[in-house]
Amino acid sequence: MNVTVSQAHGAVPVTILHTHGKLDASNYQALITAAEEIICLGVQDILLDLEDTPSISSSGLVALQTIAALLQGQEPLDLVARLTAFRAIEQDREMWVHPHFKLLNTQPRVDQTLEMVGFNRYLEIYTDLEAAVASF
Amino acid sequence: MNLYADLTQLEVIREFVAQTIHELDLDEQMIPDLQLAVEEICANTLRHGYNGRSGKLEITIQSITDGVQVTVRDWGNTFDPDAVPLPDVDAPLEQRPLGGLGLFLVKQLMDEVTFEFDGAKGDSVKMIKRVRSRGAGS
Repeated sequence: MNVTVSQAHGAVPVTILHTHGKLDASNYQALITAAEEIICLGVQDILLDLEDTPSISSSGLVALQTIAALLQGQEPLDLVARLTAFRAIEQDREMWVHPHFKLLNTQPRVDQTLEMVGFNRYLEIYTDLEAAVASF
Repeated sequence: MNLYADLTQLEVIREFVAQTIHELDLDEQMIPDLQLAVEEICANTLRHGYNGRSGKLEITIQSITDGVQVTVRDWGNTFDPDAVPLPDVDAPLEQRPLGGLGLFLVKQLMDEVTFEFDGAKGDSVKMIKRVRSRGAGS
């Protein structure tokens, strides 16, 4: 598995990480590292393109969860907004989706895994690049 | 299959699973589930049983009356499956602890998962995937 990076511009600049190959315990750290590197450069919105990733293991899920957490950590220090968000989560967990980390072109096996662990409820999944970029 | 594995050999293990299912003339639709389940068990063993180093694994795949049985045996540190908490798959991502999903996935993908601990023969995880008859519900 390797990771490539591209850029797109909607309402905000969006960085797209493209993974190539199965995402497993031997390589998930490479995806985390790629995300950490761009987040360190100031990237705030990431679209993960999984078109070329036929399957994902629990280690790959750790990578997704880590990236989601890294991007949440970049939220402005707006305590009121954060508290409001958490209240909203408690009120209706189904309504909350990650605003800064989204997925593109997930393959059927990946969809199945995301569904089994409930990640699909918190990470928006798009099949159209333009729509995905415009959603940020 | 006996191998002295590390995490870089997961692809070899996945290939072994696919090839063996093919050779046993079993339902190839089972392959992705079996590959992921075996991969999860092997990765878990290498990480925790062998502390991230390489170690000996024995993987056996055999046809049974109503499906396939896969056994993964190792000689590393004993793993206590009861110590792994069930993940809350409804919790928002940022409220979940990192990891802990591997065994959950295995149990979702397989019909039976049993652990046996034997210091001499090695510890093993036995997984059974049953073949669904056509027209049967899931």
